Amino acid sequence: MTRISLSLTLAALLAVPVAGAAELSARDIMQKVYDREDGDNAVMDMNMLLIDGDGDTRERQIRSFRRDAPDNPEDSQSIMFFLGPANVEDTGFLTFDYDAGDRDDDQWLYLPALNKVKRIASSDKSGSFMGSDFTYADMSTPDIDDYDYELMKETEVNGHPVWQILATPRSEEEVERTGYTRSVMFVRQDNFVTIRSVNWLEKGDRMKFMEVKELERIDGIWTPTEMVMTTKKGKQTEHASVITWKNIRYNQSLDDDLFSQRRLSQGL
Amino acid sequence: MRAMARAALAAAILGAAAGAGAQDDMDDLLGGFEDMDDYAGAADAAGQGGFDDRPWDLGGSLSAEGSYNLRDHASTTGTDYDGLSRLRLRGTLGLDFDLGERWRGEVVATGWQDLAYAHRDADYTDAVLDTYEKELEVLDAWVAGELGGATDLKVGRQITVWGFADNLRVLDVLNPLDNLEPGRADIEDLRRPTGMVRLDHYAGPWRATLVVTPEHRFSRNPPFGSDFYPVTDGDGNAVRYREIRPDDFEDPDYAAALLGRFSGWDLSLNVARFWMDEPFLDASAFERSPGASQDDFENAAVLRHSRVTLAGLGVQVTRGGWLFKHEAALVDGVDVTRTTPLEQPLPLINAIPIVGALVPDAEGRALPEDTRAVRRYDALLGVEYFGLPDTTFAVEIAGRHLDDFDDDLALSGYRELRGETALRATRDFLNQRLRVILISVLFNDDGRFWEATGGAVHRINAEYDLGGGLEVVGGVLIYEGGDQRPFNVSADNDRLFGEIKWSF
Repeated sequence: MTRISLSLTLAALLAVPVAGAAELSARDIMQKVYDREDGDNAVMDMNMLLIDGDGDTRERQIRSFRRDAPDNPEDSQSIMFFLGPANVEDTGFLTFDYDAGDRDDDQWLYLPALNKVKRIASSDKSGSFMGSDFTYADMSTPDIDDYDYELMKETEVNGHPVWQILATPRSEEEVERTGYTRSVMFVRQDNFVTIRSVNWLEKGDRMKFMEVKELERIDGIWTPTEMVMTTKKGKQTEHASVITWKNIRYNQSLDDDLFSQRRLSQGL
Repeated sequence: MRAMARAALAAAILGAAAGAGAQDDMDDLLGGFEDMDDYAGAADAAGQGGFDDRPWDLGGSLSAEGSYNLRDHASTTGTDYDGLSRLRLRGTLGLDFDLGERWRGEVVATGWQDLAYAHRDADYTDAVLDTYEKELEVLDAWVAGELGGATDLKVGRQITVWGFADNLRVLDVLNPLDNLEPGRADIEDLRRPTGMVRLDHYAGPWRATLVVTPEHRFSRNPPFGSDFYPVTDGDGNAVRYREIRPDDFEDPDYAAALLGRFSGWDLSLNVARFWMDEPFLDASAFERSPGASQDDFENAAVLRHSRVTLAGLGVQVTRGGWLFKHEAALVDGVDVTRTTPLEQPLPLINAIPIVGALVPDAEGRALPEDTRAVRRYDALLGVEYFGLPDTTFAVEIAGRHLDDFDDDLALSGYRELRGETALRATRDFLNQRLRVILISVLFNDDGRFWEATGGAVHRINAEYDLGGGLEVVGGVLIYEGGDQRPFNVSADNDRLFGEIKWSF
């Protein structure tokens, strides 16, 4: 009897997060994922390793700065400077990302050989981000209303309890924008970080697998510091990208001037 | 709809996730993580450098470039140009450096040796060998810094690009071009840096720019003896005129611009007073007499550059994946050559080549005796589409209209409305390892923008990133003949080209 009682108690204790989860819908969970604290601004160095199916590698080094827009914290601004390889060095990329779904982002590319800031128009986010398996859509937060969410089950990843959530785009426009027909995300229950995702590509009968390999708490903010995205066709790996972040700092004192075309053309 | 249908089907399948079988299928699919390489070793080996904050950075490139002409042809001086036409070894070295907290500088120099000229047994002109066989040139050489909080100064040889168009030039008049192999250089390598003093002041979304250019550089065009050299007499023989250029620091170019960057659109207002790149023929020193010969004319006539004033504006607007561009400019003071009919023909002069226009065959019945200044109106419309992944398309159309056009200008070979159309498509493959570029530029007149009456150049090239800063490029250039230079002589100049380049 005692053993039964203990088992029930343990089960009850283990069920606490499950019971908590039961109170959260899949959409609620994703809302918390999207609302997770990420600082007013952030500075970081990014190393991108691009790996072909046959194992050949290429690298990119980028220093990036991001902040919430001063006039509307729901909007974000980011500027990236390419540090390597040599043939893309000093190229810069400035983005004003607007939360309002009906407003196009502003994007400018700095071409050092021309000393020219070139405006980019891009409603399509399904293109490769700097040659990696990540797309521009992967690097930004989607509008939660553009998807239907379904809590598939609770499971574990690397010993961490996670929610397994299916996200299905509500419109063909969103499928075209992201290139994904659906995604399954694994969200850690203790910190609402998506540590794995599987994305079904609209074209080519391919899938992309994202996994957070390293996750650190920096300045109180849960921060992936190494991530792998692998593109597969069936069992065959076609390409993979490993992104590692270093020198991450949040809530720094950043000049307004940093997120400007003046700075974009001046470089670091 | 196909994508949505698949998504709906997937959702329907997954909606039955309560069924154990469906869940098992999903688990199988999600099992892709289990057999996935974590690339730990590769990731550890990578990313060890690149983020150093050094006060200087030395870089550059080494390359080998080749061109192979596909058709038998000769230049207007008779030089044989079929087969190998370029085998160039090039080195470029650049140094970026900081000069304190708010000042920095850059020096870039390039040099090449072309082995094709020693390899081939052809009779090249001195001008060709001087221009193409070897070169040592300082490209960028500048220092820049802040003068107060919102004002920047940049002094030295540099590139300043005006306007929004990428392929055709209406507002972009401050830097000359490298046209030695027309159509070969991409937009990144096309402009020649020029010595300028540039002042920028920033206020909100606005940037005001003042530029003074004491160094007078002009576009580098194919020289006498090249298979692209376009100036010929009525018999197709090359003709060379002496060119008179302003000395550096003599009447500097002045330019000012106001650029506004706003959400979804940009505005540019530009004015400039500068030496025009394209020369005109001044034959005022030629003494007309019944015994005057073609040689007399060619010795007396000279090429000069107009001193012109430009006022222009540019606008670009984004809508979704579209970027619309417009530029317009008024160019005042363009000197043009007047050709007048002669009551008494000069029998020894059968045709006078007019640089920058056509080659009239007047059989000695017309003479380009003097010049006059006219106003030119330039306008450009363009659109660029970014709505497909890893792909861009661009179309630009420009028209240049000569004001106060008359028969004398027509007799010189000028056209009242000259047109240019550029079509460009770029697509990345293999995670941006491979980039393919297609570009066509058509030259025409009288508003027939989709024709190539003046000639055309088409280029297809592929750039493959081998990693480690190593890149190979290969492509083909196709020329269509026409009545505008250099296509009046270059219809047979089609060529394959290739390059291997290591950047460090």
